[in-house]
Amino acid sequence: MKNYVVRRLFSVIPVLWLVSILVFGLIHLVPGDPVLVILGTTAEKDQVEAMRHKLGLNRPILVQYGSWIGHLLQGDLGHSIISDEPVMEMILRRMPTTLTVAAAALLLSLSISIPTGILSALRHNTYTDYFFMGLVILAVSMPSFWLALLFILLFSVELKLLPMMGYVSIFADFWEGLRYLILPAMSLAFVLAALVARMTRSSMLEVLREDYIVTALSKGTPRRFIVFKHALKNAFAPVLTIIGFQIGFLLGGTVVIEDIYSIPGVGRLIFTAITNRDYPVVQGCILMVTIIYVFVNTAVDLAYAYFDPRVSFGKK
Amino acid sequence: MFVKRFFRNKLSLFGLAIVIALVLVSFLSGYVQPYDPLKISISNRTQAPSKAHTFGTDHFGRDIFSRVLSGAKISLTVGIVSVALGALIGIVLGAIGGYFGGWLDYVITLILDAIISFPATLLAIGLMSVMGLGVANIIIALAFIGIPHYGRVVRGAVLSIREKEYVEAARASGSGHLKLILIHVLPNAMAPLIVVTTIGVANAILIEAALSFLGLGVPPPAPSWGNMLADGRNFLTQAPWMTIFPGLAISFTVLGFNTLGDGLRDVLDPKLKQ
Repeated sequence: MKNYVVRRLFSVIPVLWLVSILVFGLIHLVPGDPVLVILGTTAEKDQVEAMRHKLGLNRPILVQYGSWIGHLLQGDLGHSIISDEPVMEMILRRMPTTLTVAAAALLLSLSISIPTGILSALRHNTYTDYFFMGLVILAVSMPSFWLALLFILLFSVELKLLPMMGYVSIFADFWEGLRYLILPAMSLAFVLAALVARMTRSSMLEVLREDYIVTALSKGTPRRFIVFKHALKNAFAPVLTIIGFQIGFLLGGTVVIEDIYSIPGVGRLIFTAITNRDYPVVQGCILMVTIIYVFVNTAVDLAYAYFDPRVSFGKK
Repeated sequence: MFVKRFFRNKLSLFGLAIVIALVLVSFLSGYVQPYDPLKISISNRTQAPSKAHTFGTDHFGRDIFSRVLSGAKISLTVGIVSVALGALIGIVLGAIGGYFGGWLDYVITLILDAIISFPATLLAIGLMSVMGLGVANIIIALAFIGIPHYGRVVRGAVLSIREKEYVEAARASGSGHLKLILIHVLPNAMAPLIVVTTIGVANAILIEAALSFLGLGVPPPAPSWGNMLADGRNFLTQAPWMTIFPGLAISFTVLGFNTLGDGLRDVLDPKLKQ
């Protein structure tokens, strides 16, 4: 197990290295001269040269990358073109907000989806099962940003129950913060809950057919005990993988949702940066969110090994 | 056998019906739409749904029903072309990696892993922010994001088939690598590939809608469902129909491709059933 953990952690390094190359390469995908795109074609020649120098674009590309990754390893993502603030500080200031929204959505979706999935599995092929699985098919087809707009329409405009937009941190004022968190979390949780419910159901169905469950049943072990003690733990491993994979959806989706509800997180930061053509900030945000995603997935893989001891730790 | 099983699956038939209807609508949109989707009529602005305008009109007085129909063409084009492009590159990479193995496989797998490490929507936003607006750029961005999904499926299939006896036999009888891959190995990877590409179209359509909604996709005035929603957002209280109908169109389309994909999975790959 220890070997597996170490090997899995080391396998992240080459992937992150390639990710860094892709993110670094983004600015070079700008058609034409990125400096002219940032400053506009009417910029003075010395302004253009100064900006080129500031971004390091006047050096050979390998030197540029070397210097960028060198700074990155020291936690330096460069400076914003607009405000000259260190990009890392800008991101770290907003990251807790984004992670709060994502975590709220995750909690909400799990609290809906796992009971639903278990119930559907236990009532396999009944109307309850059909109803929930029909709902799942509908839910995964709806864009979360459209749901966000519909929720605003229903809960803010019509019913006047919840604020339309804005954000109050739950750490500053818990109840007020919660009111601002409900709609964004609901918009994101819907799709996620559907996917997790479907996985929980199919995974439970598979486990419930296993010999040891049948044995336990025939020995007269109470059904509730079997479901929660034996089946759930073993059924949870595949569910965990789906959750890990969907963290990417959650982090990407939060970006769009933050824009709709005017939440001052990393998503809003990216948008402002894109509008201002503040490329170092765009690059920094994408890189940081991706790094979080990669580590979440690594953690999920390790947790998978815990939940499902059949996972082989040998060399594949 | 396959066709029979497919037609017995109600869900996949439902999906197929939606997809066929969409393809027809996008080919015939010029004939079936009641109004010109780009025609501005200020006197008709933000009219509620009525007999004359089934889905109402937007802030420029354009007929939303006509715009939704004409948006189908953009969504389908982006969805299908981007998936085709991504799948093509993915198939080539996956087949090469799986078939030859060794360091080549390691490098290809690493590249696929790196692309898939990005949250998809975020990578799409990043690519569009540097490449600029336009349908061609969306297709490139979405194709790029899709590559690892197809590459992984093909690589896995090739790995499991590579050592089979009939492939050995073909190799022994002197077939070249290309012929072996094209004739013996790839056709066996088709089943999972068809499933992944069908669901891939649904995802591509969702991301395109998100990009256009954020103003990073199809530039106005072209009626993409995503930028119709972006307009609708500014008139949420006065004209909710501007938001409701394009969103329904997206959901309906995605539903069609998703159920078709799920149905195909049940039929083509019974091991994956449930």
